[in-house]
Amino acid sequence: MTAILRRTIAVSLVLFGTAAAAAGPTEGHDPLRGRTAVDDMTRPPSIPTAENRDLKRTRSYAMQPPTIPHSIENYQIDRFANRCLMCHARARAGETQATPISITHYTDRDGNFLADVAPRRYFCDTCHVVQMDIKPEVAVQNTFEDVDSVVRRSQARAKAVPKKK
Amino acid sequence: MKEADIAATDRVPETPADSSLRRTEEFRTWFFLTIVMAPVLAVLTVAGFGFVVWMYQLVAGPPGS
Amino acid sequence: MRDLLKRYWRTLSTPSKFYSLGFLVVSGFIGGILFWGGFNTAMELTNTEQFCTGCHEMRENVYQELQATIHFTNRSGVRAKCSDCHVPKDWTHKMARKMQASKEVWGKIFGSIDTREKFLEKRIELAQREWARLKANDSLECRNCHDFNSMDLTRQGKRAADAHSTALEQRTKTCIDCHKGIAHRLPDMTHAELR
Repeated sequence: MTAILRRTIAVSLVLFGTAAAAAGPTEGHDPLRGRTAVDDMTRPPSIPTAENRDLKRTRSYAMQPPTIPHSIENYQIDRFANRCLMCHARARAGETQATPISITHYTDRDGNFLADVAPRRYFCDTCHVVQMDIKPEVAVQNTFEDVDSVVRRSQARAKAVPKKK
Repeated sequence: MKEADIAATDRVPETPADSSLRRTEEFRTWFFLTIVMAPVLAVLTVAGFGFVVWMYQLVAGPPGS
Repeated sequence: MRDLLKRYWRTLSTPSKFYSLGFLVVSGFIGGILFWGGFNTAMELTNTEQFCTGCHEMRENVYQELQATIHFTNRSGVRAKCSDCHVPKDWTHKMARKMQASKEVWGKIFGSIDTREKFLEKRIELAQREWARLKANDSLECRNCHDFNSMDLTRQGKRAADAHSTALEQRTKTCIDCHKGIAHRLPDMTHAELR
């Protein structure tokens, strides 16, 4: 073996050894694997299904695109057909009793009112999502706070501060 | 034609060779009819029937309309 | 040659000398049974998925789309093959459809939809023909499996139960009116005519 090769191997071994010592399988955990040991298999959760109860949900803020109250499995939205509009288009809503798409969906980006749904709003599932039928603890957590509670908190704080005379 | 009507001169007696030939011919005819002709005719009849119904449906529209 | 034909014609048109009446009748009967069985087997072979998807026009276009749908794979494994929806069960109409299939053989030979572009262009015409057929026979092929009177509406979602208990029950609509695109993707609907 040449001198260069021997030196390369030696350096690699040192680095590898250091890395192995620093992050053993029992210390820290791999964010992808979770807390499963290396010699064990993870038990992934069951594939959830979308909630299909057709009950409107409370919106977290006024302009939130409402979540979809039914399953949209296999719904075709492409240049050929839009399965959502088949029920939710203005012309169809009377027959289907589905919520017609709001007026905001008819303006293009320059503010012009169009006769039919604007191209930038055509792909409904860009903004509207279903909710999975799972326990709240399992869902992705967030720290979003409703504006009502923010207002209440600031009002309470204003009340607590004694008024300057 | 009754046997009595056929003149004695016209009646040709069958030789054993004739018989054997006749037997072979009959077998071949039976075979041809049973294995070839009848199936072919049946297929042609059914196909013809299907074809006629198809043409009718082109004019009268699909079934049920 | 003419002599040969004359002799065989005589054999054909005169009573049999060597074969009994019983033999002739029974052999004809058994031959008929064998033929009819063979005919039906061949007919059902042309109804299999392998036969239909033997043509690349079908295999690479509509069959690919079918594989993502509920009629191809679902939790119960009850599924539909091509002929369940596209070939009528009634014998007369089935024969008519099989003769109509000669048009498809012609199309295969002359390549009427042998590229993706040609297929997409012709798609709306093909789709509308099928929709018209199903509308005319009150979605008979759907009802071969989905019997309305056996539908438990309490087990369906709200939208489905509502739609089925109104339009379907009152017969103002038939299955295909709402369920277009259930098995294959919808074609370009820009030039679709409302029928």
